[in-house]
Amino acid sequence: MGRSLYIRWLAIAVLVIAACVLLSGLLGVVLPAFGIFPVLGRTEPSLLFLKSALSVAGVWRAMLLSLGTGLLATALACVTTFLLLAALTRQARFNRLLELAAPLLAVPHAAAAFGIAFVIAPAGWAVRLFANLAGFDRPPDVVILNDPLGLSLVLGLVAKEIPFLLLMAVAALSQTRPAQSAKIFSSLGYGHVTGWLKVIAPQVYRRIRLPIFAVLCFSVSVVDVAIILGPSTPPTLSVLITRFMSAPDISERLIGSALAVLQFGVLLIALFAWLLFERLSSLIFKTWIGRGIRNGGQLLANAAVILVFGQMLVLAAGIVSLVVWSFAGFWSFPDLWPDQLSAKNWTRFGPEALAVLGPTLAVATVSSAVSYGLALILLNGAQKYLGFIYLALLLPQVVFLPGIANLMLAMDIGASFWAVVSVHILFVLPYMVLALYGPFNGIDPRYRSIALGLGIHPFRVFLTVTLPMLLGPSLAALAIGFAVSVAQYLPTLLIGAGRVVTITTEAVALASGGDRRVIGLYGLVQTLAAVLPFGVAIILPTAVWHNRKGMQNG
Amino acid sequence: MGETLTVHALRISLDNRPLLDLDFQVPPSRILTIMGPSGSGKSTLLAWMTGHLSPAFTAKGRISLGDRDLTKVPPHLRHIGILFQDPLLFPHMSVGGNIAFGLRDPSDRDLAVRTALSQVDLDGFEIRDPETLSGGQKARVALMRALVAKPQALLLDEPFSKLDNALRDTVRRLVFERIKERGIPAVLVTHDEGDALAAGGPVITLG
Repeated sequence: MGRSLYIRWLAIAVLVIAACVLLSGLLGVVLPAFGIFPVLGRTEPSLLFLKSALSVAGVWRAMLLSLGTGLLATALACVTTFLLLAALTRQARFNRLLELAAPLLAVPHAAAAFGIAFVIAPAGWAVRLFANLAGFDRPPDVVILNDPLGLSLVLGLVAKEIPFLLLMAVAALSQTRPAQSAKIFSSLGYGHVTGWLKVIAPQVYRRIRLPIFAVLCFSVSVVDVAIILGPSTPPTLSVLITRFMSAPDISERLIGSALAVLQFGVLLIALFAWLLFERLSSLIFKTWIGRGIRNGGQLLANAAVILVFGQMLVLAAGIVSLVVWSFAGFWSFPDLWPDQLSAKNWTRFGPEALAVLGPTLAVATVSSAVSYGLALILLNGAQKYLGFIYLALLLPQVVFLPGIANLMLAMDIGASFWAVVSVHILFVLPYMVLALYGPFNGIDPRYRSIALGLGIHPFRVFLTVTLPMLLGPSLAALAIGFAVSVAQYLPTLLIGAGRVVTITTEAVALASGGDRRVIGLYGLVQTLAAVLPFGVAIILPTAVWHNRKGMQNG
Repeated sequence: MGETLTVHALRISLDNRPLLDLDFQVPPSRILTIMGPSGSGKSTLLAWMTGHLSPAFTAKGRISLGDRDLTKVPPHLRHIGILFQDPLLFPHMSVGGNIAFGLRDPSDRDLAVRTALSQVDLDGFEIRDPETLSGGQKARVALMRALVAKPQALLLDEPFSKLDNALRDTVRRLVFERIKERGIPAVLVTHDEGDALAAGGPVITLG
């Protein structure tokens, strides 16, 4: 058919452009790393900058930190998610937990990190609570935040990754017939936790390997959370790269690019370590299964439940603390509540925050709208090749974005609104496709056959049948895309180059300043910008389809 | 009056294994019944006739209405309507919206919708939500939605199989009467011999 061929070519063109941007980003990093940077007149290959990168102060420790915190965060998030599922899947409160997990996903990483910092810092809520119980009146002189081992960074990553893995695992779980498996292992005398871990967990794991790799890639190379919660002397490798890439002296980019190549190496080592971890776990697991132990694991599963609820509590308390700090006046230690609440912080800093909110919303609106259109083209025309679009999630941003920034410099393309939007699309699009894939393919194809049989043009069928049926999922996908765009730190920082700033770049820049009231205000504005569209995505379809029962479940 | 529907030298195969080998003609007002067990290719035949055959299949042969060759005509220009075993009313439209969706001439939409609903004893159902209708009512709306588009042939993919016996007779009679009244050819795919008998036309058994 002519139309479908046209859509297919359009879809393939979208994929090719996305792949080209990623590849050119990699190339834009590799060439300068090996000394080729025509902007500075360097055209001969050289290992000088890789050597320089390896002698940057603290670089080895930075690499170890990235590797260690990334692996630990991913392993903890993964193990906890599976133990939690084993403990709770047969219980009614499981659905309640999922309802709690979903909105936490929308909270931008930076805002979540600020919130967690406000809770666990030496003068944070958790310590204030403990101080009230234990009776001391000064913040303890211990390094909790930005600790040299990166444990607070791990905590921040785990808190955000568990809701993500939980939702991915639940989607995979529905494909494994868990109820039937549970009946069978129960009849063989297995307890629920043991049976679930032995029978269902391996099936779920196989199905969510890709999201787990995405989590690993993210954790090893995250920038904004590492700036807020991670150590600073030295920081993680990704933060080090960002410092070099944002330095005013362009020649620093050569070392930044060399560091990005090292970051890619760190990712490969992390992936290799994870594959080893998988192999080892599989051996242990098989031995455990072979022994026929019917019960056990309950204690661990209960510990996971407590851990997850604790994490969620810290995260939720963190968001509340953003609100409180943004209105706080004087707040002495160890008081649990400020001496006074007022709108003073908002009248003083609110206008600045609102000024950067404009570009934030503009970038998010345009990138999510364009991504929505592209996602529909891809779903219509290139479902077989969708895997390519997820490459942007599997490659660390800090590895290829500096390359794009270098290429823009080489090609004399200045930082602009559209450049930032284009790069945001690279990250928004995969999430949109993920969100729309199931609902799009869930529409009974016979509706389309009927409509075409009535003589309606295919494009009109798409507009009047397919799109209205996808209203709920479309709004959810747009809200996800919007939240993803609002949360982007590194793409805005490197491609916007200070000329395009968003609430996220400004909020993270405030991290070093340490004024909690301003940070609370910016973090709150950032959270609201990301979360509010979800409210619209929930309310609007219900309002539009209030008199259409067949549309009320999505 | 409609024209004769012809399927000429049709051969459909899957992975080089022949699935269907057919040749038939359906004159106006006649209903050809295709029977056969599951997997014998009945629905595949209808998918090919409407232009929706999956690329996994290979098909050779021609389909025509009168002297118009439809083989390479896009689905929406074939003027071949289809009814499935589920009524599949568009859930986001009202009953009236479903009927109006098929109208070729929207100039007097309300009158056309009222007339169509009246023909199947559903007067006043225009603004109803399709989900609030009974199975028989849904089947009647689906029929009228197909007919207001003035198809030149109608394909019926087991459209009565989900209805209970009493309702089945009523809806079946209604569908067959309308087909004959419009003078269009129809192809009925069914497992049920009662459907074949009621259709009163020739029967092809597959598989």
